[in-house]
Amino acid sequence: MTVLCVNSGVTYADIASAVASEGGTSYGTFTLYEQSGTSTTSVIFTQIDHPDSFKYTAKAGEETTGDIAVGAGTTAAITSTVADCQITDLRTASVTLTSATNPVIRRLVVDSGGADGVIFPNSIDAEDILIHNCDDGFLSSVVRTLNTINKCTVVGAGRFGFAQGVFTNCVDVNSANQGFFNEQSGSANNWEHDGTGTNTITESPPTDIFEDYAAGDYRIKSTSSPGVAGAGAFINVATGGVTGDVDFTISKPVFSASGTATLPAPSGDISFTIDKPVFTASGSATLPQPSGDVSFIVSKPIFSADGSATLPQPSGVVSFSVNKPVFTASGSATVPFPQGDIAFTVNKPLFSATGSATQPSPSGSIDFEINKPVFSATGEATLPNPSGIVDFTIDKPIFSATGSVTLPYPQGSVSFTVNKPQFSVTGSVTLPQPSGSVSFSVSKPVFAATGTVSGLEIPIGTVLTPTFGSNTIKLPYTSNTIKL
Amino acid sequence: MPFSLQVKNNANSYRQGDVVAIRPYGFEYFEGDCLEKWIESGRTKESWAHPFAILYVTDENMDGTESEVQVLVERFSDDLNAPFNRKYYITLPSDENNPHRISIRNTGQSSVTWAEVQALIAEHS
Repeated sequence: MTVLCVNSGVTYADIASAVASEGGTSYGTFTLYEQSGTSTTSVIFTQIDHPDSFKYTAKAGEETTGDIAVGAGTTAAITSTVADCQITDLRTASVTLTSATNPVIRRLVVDSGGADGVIFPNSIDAEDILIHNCDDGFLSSVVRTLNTINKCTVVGAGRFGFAQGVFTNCVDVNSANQGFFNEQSGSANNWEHDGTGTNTITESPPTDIFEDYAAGDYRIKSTSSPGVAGAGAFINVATGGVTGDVDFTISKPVFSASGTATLPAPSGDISFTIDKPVFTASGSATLPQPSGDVSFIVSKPIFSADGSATLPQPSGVVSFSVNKPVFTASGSATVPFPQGDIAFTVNKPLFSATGSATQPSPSGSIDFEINKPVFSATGEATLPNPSGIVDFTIDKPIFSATGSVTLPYPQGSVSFTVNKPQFSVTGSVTLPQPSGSVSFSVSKPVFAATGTVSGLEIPIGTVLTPTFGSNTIKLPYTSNTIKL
Repeated sequence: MPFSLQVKNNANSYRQGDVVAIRPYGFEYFEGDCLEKWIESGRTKESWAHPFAILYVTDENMDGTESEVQVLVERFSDDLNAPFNRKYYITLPSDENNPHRISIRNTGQSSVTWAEVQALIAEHS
């Protein structure tokens, strides 16, 4: 058993020794104590000892899980009178916060040895707290109406599970007297076995809501009646633990749509359309507490839509369009408490739309249109408390739209349009309390839209009016001439 | 079985201190708890700035759970905001040549009998 004061870098035998030594020191930020193993000496955190407040938590890898035998912590009582203090991820004995302002407690497993579990003030913010072997679970000697106590579980209280406060999404099992006593306005979705809350556990015995009650695994089954309602501490949303590396790969998916039409002597209009093809590659991974690295890759997807029309002697209008293709690659990773590095990559996506039309002797007008292609690549990562490195990369996406028309002897008008293509790359990372570094990069996207017209013979009397001042006429071969 | 007392020196007197905890036989101290481990961790005696001294009580017939020992960690009052207030404290002899003072000065610890400790206990007023 040890306690590391992260601020000073000094290791102590237990939390009592650490507080006795570090007390009174101002680090300009809260004093951070990391518990490894189990302390056995009670401790009182005072404001004068912690002028910048404190956080008492478990060493990485020794956090609580909802199994009452798992996790670092202390077997002795904890008392705090410190404003804005945080006690998280530990196993503890009784926790007394009556005189603390705005205390925050998270993911505690409290074995109070028959005493009261958590004695709370009006300003407490408590979530994911499991209390067992207690007299009262959550108790205040006076009625509280402003507290936040959410998603907590009390098991086998000698008297009340939850008393004299506002409770939401809480679960009481097998309290001897009442599960919920004198709960205040705002309390909701509270589950118990005795009709004192707002919902009654349907399982019988009610301890069946836990993963393995006999073995001390008090995680709530996600399929249990309170679990489905999102009530209780340590809801076991995963079907199994993840202990190794996880690879999730969709490697180079190919989507293609093609169509051909050969019409020797059409006399009516011809429409050839590939309308808004949608390609989607999506993957998701939800990993509650992975201990290895996580990689999520959408590797170089290729989207292509091709259309061709061979029309020897058309006399009507020819329309060729690739209508608003949409390419989307998205990935998301929700990793509540990662301990390893995280890489998030969309690797060099390519988008291309190509159209061509060869019309030896057209007599009507010709429209050639690529209509507002849209490319978007989106990635996001939500990482509540990452302690490793986060990389977020979209690597040099390339977009190109190309169209060409070869018109040996056109007699009608020619229209060649690429409608305002849109390209967007979006990435976001939400990191409430990161302790590691975060890098976010989008490598220089490349966009190209090219249209060419060749073999054009301009009838006598035609006036050429370039749309933009930047238009140029190039003569790559000396045999080309412009005659007026 | 012998036990040990982890004493936190009073800020105003290196001779006087309250007991942080009564440690059982074999308890493992670390670098922040005692000078011996501090030096073992590669640090120097001169950089030791922690307020602790360790008294190893050598009585074979005691283990620290006795009520006369446990009084050393009784709180002085119920005032939760009072910093580290024990009801009783230990004052080392005034003679700076006392072997326990020399030992604590040099090594941060000393071996004592319970009878010797008892003679050094006083009550906060």
